[in-house]
Amino acid sequence: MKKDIVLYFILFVVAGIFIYNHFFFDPSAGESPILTELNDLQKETLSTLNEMTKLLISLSTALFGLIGYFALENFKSVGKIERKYRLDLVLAFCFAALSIDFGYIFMEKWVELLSNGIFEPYDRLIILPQQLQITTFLISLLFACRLIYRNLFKSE
Amino acid sequence: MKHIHLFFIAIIILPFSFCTFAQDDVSPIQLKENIKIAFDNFKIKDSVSLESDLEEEVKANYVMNFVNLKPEYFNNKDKARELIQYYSTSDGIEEILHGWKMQADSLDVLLPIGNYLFQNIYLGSEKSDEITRNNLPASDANTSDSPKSVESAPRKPLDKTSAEKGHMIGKHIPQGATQTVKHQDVNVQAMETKRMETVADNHTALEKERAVFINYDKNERTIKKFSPKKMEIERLAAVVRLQNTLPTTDTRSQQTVRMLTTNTKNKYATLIINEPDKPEAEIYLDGKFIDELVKIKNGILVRSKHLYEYEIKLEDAIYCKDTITLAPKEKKTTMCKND
Repeated sequence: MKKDIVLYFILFVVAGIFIYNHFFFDPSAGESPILTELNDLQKETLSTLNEMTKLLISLSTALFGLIGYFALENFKSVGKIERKYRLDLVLAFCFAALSIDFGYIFMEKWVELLSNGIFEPYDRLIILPQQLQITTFLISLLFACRLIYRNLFKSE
Repeated sequence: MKHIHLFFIAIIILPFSFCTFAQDDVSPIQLKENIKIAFDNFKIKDSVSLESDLEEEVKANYVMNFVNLKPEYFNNKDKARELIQYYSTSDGIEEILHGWKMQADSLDVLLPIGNYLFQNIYLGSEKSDEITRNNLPASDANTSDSPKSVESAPRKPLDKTSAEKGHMIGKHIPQGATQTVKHQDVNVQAMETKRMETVADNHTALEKERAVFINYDKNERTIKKFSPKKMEIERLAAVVRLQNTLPTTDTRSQQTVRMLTTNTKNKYATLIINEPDKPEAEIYLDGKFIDELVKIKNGILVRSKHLYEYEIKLEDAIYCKDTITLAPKEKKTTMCKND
């Protein structure tokens, strides 16, 4: 029961973060000159940033599949997901989901910047979700690896 | 245990909801509620009827200016904090409304209520308590009696009942009206008269101060006429000028035509500075380098309702320096004067 409470707690913290991201996270962009169009260099920068974000979103989605596969394998062999794997499973899932969400927020904030006519790749408005996206992805990867390792080698 | 998830919802989500409102002493919702109460009381007590559009504008102006107020703007921060707190309550707002109406009557000009609020806090936090208490209820103002001011005061008849309510500003009652108040004890009546006269003195002093900085821009001679403390008045006038840069929705007191930008959030505004038209001119906002002036012909995206100190540098020397605050979505072209 105690472990269940921990899992619930994790899920609701993550739910809280989702809600915060979409309804409360609204910092202002820093002061910047207004542009009418981007030059080639800026276009290239924007394109690279987009690629980076899309790559991380794709990797997080792939991680989702990998975790799901191992969860299913465990379910098939035992008939349920063993308690010892649950925490890793939930954490890996949650952080992968958060990584995707931060990627989405990152793009949303880029839209806000560009629609206001400013180009600031290092503005705090977008640098925070960008860094959180990679951080949460790495944490998710860590728990996913732990899950896979324990599953393959059946360690305690 | 079955509904444990509800418990977690309460723990996780509620703090997120509250954190957005817990930044100030009074939440925006509470402030608006207090303004509503104050307006209702004001309309009943003063028998004032405002057009609904004007009322909404005044309320919006009050809220907008109130949220911009910070104790750091004033010398006596503790007193300013206290006053800001007071003027967020329905009593305080009602008092501001009374004073604002009286000022409008006496000057025959409808100034933005936000400016009046700012002036009140400025005077309340920087001047002596006697002046401050001009706007407080008469029972409080009583504590600031001083024999000197009573003796030197020009006698002004005041209606006792209005004085008791705290509506002492600028009310001229026909001579002898006080005789309608029947006091059994003559001493009590004399003390009451003294108190009212002191209040009248305080009011006169405050009105003079107001007249000084209202007329400052129009005629500097006025300052010499009213007050010897030119430096202080200059600073006061600068503060008022700064406050006047805050946007007002009051059409009667609107002095500049504002342009609004579309396709942008309310939290942004556009600042345009075109002069000096020299390639080496650079603009700094709050000490942060933005760009060269010639490159920002479309303006600078800034946060609305934020007090910015901007400076233009020419070859590393400050060419001019000023402060500005823009309204949401406002697009303003400003001139930076060379000192």
